[in-house]
Amino acid sequence: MKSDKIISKLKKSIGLVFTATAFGAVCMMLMGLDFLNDSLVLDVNKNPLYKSAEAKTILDKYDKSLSDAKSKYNGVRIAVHGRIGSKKADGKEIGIVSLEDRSGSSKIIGKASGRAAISRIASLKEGDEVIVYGKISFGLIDQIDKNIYISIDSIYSIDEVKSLPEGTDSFSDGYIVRETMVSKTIANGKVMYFMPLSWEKKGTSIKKEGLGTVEGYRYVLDNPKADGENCDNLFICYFDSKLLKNEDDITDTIGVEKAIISNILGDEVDMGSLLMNTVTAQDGSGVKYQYYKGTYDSDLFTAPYRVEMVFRKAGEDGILFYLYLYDNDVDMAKNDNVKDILYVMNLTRVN
Amino acid sequence: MRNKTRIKTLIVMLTLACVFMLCGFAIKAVKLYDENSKLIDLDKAVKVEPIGPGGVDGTDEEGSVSANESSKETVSTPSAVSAISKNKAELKRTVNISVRSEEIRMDDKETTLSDIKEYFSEKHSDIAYIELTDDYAEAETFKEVMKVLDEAGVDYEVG
Repeated sequence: MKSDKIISKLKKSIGLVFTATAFGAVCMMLMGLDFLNDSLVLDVNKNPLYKSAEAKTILDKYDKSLSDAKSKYNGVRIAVHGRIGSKKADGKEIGIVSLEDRSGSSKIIGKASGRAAISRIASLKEGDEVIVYGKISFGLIDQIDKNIYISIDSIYSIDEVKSLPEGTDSFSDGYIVRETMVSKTIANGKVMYFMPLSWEKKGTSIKKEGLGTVEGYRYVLDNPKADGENCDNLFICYFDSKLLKNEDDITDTIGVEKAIISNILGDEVDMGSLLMNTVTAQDGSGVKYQYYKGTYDSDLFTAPYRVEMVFRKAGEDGILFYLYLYDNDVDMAKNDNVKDILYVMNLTRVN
Repeated sequence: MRNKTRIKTLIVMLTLACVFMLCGFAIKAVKLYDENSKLIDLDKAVKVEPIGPGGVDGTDEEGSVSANESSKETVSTPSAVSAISKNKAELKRTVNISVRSEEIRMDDKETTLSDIKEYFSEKHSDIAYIELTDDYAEAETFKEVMKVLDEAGVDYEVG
């Protein structure tokens, strides 16, 4: 019958539209993921900080009290300074002991799964003094497994990477900002960040310099191009709910972020063209960062800048955001500014 | 009869779908209080000369920075061996004291002369430097703050 045919055609059309939409969404998602894996330069989880510690300190604490050692070190990223006490035949496991003679035969068992770490272990031997970067864990059942473990992210001989003072923060390639750090507070003390002292000469207040209406500071940082042009710019800003037409809209975090981005990059910016990602810090803080990445054209005749904006909540009434503007042509793998900015992000405190 | 029921069901579903779509469009976008001003003017920012040997246009509201800066050294990838200083990386902080009319604030929190006196009666080795800002201060109040800091024997810069 005619109505049967109409219904059948309608069903087919709806089915086709649904399938096409779902397929398109999956494709876009996969493309986005592929892009994101390589392109977020300020990803805090890909570049976490490690706290340096002597193997002796960890082992002494462990021998004194297992529960104390667990509460201090379990799940913590550590750069352990010690000596290779043993090495397994498969080259994937080493025993790390203290540099000094000490009573007790306990050691930290380092397990490597990454190719780079395994290859490095192959070049090291028993007795070598090393720095091992990784996450500490303890045996699942205390009574059966009384070992301390470290899952090795990277390992260096002491000839390659000098020892770090205990308690110092560094990245897994050994990078550490060896400067006096100073603090800056904004948002009436709600936000405090630490930065290298040299940044004070490179920083200006956004409002005072007529660079905008948001509270915060701009830092001009050289990049590897070093030609004096197109320097990196980092903005650290606090966006208060008072800047909204309706202050209650501050609860609509995504909406506020979009409004901020549209204002800064221009109303014509296509939000769909920005790469977006949400990252929850895995350093125990649970801080959620929302990332947006795109390009910015200052004028028609220069290559566009890349812009990466990172948002995090700062209390009920505000949002803290970082805006990193950098030259499109710079090799980011050689750009130390990224490490310094990650340092600052990791050490930012929101009250 | 059965087909009429099916057609009615389809029409109801399509109508509901349209209503949901319209609701989506009706959700208002978040607006800023001042849509005509830039939160950050990137065009202006990239045109300003970078700091370095040339300096920047304008000054930081924090005023001049003390020349207490050690060289930045990095422990880079394993192929490079760098000479590293033995100095420990220190976390030091800046203390900002500002006076506006008769109101005194320390690190953005309201305080009093006696609180400042008590605070600086102890040594704080984690302070890099102290900046005292005259933010349209009442003259006598500002002088009293300076007197308290002088008596406490702390170094500070007036900005």
